[in-house]
Amino acid sequence: MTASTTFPEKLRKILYKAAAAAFWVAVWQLLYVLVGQDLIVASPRNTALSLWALGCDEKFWLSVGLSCARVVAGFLLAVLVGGLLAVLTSRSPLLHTLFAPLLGVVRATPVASFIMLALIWIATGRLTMFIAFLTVIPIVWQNVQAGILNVDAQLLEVARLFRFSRRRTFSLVVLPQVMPYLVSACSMGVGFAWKSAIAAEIIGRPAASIGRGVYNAKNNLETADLFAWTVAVIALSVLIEKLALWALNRLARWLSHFRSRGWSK
Amino acid sequence: MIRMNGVSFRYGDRWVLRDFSHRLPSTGTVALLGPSGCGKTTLLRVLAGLEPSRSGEIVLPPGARLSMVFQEDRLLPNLTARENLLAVLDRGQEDIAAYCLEQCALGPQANEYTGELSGGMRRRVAVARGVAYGGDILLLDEPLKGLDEALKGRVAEFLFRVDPAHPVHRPRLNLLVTHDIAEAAAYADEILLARGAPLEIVDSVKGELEGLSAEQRLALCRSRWGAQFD
Repeated sequence: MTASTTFPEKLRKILYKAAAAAFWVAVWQLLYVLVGQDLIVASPRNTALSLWALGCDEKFWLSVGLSCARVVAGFLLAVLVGGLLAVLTSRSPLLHTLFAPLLGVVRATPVASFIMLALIWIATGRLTMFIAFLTVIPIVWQNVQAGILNVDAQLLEVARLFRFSRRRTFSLVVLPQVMPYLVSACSMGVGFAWKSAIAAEIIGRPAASIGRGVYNAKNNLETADLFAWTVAVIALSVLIEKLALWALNRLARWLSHFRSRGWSK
Repeated sequence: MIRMNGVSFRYGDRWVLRDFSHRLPSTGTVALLGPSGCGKTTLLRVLAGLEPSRSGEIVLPPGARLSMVFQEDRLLPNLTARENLLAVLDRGQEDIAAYCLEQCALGPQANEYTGELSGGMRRRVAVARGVAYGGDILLLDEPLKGLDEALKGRVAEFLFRVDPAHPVHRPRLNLLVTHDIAEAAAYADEILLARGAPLEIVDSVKGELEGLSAEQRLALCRSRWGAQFD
């Protein structure tokens, strides 16, 4: 949003969004009426009531909290390891050749296969984190590596000629050019991580998890509950993506502040 | 004294420097005047250690510190003009950055991001950065390119001023690469006429320039090499 955006413009945008949402809820209601079976399509009203009931149950919040924590842990670990691998493989052709097949395999393997293998290898409690990790790591790895390889060679020469320390070269030349790639990877990765992790939970059904809630709702033929869980998953996905981008922006600002502070008298 | 003995460098099969030898003084302004593509920039890059010479040796004064104004501005785009200078300075040298920006008529733009500056302003930031860094040898690759006449004079005066008492203007060697005969005649103590590639020095003037006005220097250079540059 630009600084020049006026209040009526903001209000108009909100109204447009609300109108779009209302339109799709109306389509949903129409579909419900046309199908005419609660077992197949739950109504918006019943879904809202189920969501409210879920919200009043502390087990729901425990499941949401634990699932989110597992996804975030897997995501952060993937950013850390993926970033590290990107640095190593972009600096060493030997390491790049060594790790390239691994990256290819991880990217090409269907998530469902990984979920099945993970169920054999590790405890279901760690399944969510593991799948989030595996989903995000190739995205971060590949994007950050591209960022590092695209760092302006002319600016690296400037750093060399003016005898920048490694730290200064990293913070003033490399990091600003790699950050957009990292932000893009995180923005893409967080959505994938969330969807893959929930899919893994539905299959693995770890205790106190969103996936288990979705599975139980389906198993008990409680379609309204199933819709309510799905709505919750979508809302949390949007929330987590926004939080991740907010955190990255804060990080970029902090780095900028750190840079200025380092230069002041 | 800077000595280059039998320095060679090539891009692929094309020799740009081949067994090149020359001596440069420790202080003063030496202009390397020659047409585009004759190897002037490559010589600066080899001197700066940005390209490895394939053979020969370059002997710089012990502990010599090099600075450079690149042919392209090469400013850090995510930093302001002031921060671009601070990036090459040590902590506590903010006054040097402010002085150099002021001298290049960039005081009001000091806190603007370089991506938001005009081409001429960015060029002046690049010059200010090269001078602010200090050092014993300043390599200048077409430093005044793209500046309008009024600012060119001001920036050149800042660039070539010598004042042993001033930290920014201490005597040093300025090696000015240009293909502008008027620029070489106006600012250099010695002019080397180059051709290539591979680069070779085919003529030079030094003593003859002493005591002459800028117009007389230019007339002298034109009378010797005019056909190549007019």
